[in-house]
Amino acid sequence: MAAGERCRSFEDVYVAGYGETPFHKRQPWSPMRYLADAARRTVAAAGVDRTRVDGLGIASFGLAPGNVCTVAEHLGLRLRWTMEGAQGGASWVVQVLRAAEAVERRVCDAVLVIAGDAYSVDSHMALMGSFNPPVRDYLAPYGFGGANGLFAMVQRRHMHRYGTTEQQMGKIAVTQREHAAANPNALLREPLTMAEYLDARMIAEPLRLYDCVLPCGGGGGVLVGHRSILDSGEAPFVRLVAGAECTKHSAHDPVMVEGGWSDFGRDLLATADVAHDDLGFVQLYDDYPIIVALQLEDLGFCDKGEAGRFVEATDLSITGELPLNTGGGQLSCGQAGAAGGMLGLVEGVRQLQGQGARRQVAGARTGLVSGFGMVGYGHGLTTAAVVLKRRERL
Amino acid sequence: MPVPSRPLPRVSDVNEPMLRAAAQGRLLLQRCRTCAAWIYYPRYVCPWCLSAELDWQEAAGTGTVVSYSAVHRPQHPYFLPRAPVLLVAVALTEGPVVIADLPHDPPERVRIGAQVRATFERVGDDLGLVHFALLDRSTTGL
Repeated sequence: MAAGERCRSFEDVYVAGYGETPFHKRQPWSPMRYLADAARRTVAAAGVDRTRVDGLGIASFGLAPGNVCTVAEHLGLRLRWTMEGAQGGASWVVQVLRAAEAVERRVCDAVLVIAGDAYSVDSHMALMGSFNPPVRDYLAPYGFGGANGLFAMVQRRHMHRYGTTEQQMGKIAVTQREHAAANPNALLREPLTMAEYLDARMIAEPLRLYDCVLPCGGGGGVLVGHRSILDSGEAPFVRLVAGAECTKHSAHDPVMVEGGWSDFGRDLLATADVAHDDLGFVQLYDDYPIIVALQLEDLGFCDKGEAGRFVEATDLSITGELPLNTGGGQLSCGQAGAAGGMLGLVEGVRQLQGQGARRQVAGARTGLVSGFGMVGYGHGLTTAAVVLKRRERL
Repeated sequence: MPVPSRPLPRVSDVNEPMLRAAAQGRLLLQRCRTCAAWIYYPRYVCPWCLSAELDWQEAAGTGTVVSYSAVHRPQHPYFLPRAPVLLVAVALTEGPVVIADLPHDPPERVRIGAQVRATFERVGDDLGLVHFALLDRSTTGL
């Protein structure tokens, strides 16, 4: 299949605004409150009248029995397009892609994509015990420890096969925590030293405490819109240039060595007409440092197996060669359930609009945002990514 | 406070033969009659060719460790007194990879590539769980 055939490119699709709720470690709001707050903030930031919002995508593990239609009713929206997250932690990015396709075709002009959850360690563990049938029936009976146990096996395999080290994975966590110091909304903002990272208590060997996200309450959203709704807006604009999605598994190899990003990674940047060196930043799904590593490989920043060495040799800080998770990522901000990855998209748009304040990447004009989700039998099943560009005029 | 009970598989037509055989000490898996692939976890159709012609066959019960992890924080209260749980992914001789545990061996003895064999535990009427054990119990772990 030629480059671009499994990737979608867009001419008239923009991210018109973003919103981010407060994050709460204790006494979280309800999921609906996070969704409503994200919706209100996003529509206000986009500068469009709420009556122009004609599409809605939602993602939340805890909202049921609420659904996208009842959320529309709660928000007072009249819609031509609705979508509800079935891709777990990747729902937000899959919805952005589907919304872009609908907007490009003028099925709708302004799609609000929001995510929100009230997550805690206990609710996360309970969710992991019954997340879907293969998890409930073939993993939970063994005390698998949720995603921690599964991705611990992924990291151990990567370390064994490729020589990846704990220090290399630690650099991801430590660097992102440096970025979080400049993010008032991050739950973990104190510096993390490599010694603290390496000495932290084991969760599921070889994963330690700072390899794992802190479940929290929170939410976020973006408005995916047609160029025409931005006519009265001000530069800079953020154009959604290209995106791709892959849901895959290996029926005989659940301990993933690569993810679905390998299906489209290099093609996606080619479709966007962007070289890896052109990217001002990457916001990669960081439920664990090893998953960041797999994205670096599968998206073509380095060869398979080389992510550890690549991380060691690359300055991933805001002032470095490849700024990574410039707001601190989920590892520093907390994982608000299905909204976890949305904070990467929000951060990406924020950076391209020049609103990064003390964590602004100087001169950032292009960025890649990547997602991952739906833990099935041993691995995450769905991946997707989008490329965004800053534009001074529509 | 009641003692939490172990989370168990939900028995249905797709997995009942396997779970019943495990209670009897046998590793029974599906094999596709159309393409000959072995299948795990149990499915209604072959994930390799979509055929619905699946037979139950007994697997050897031997395999190789693909990866493992000593899980210090299991996801369910039943396992907390039994932590760490030694989670393991085993490539069966027949091909499929099964995620289970190594309840008979200490974590420090496990290696990627180690040979294992299936063991069985009856956990209910006609319901069994498959575990694994290191085959060579005499090594020093090096």
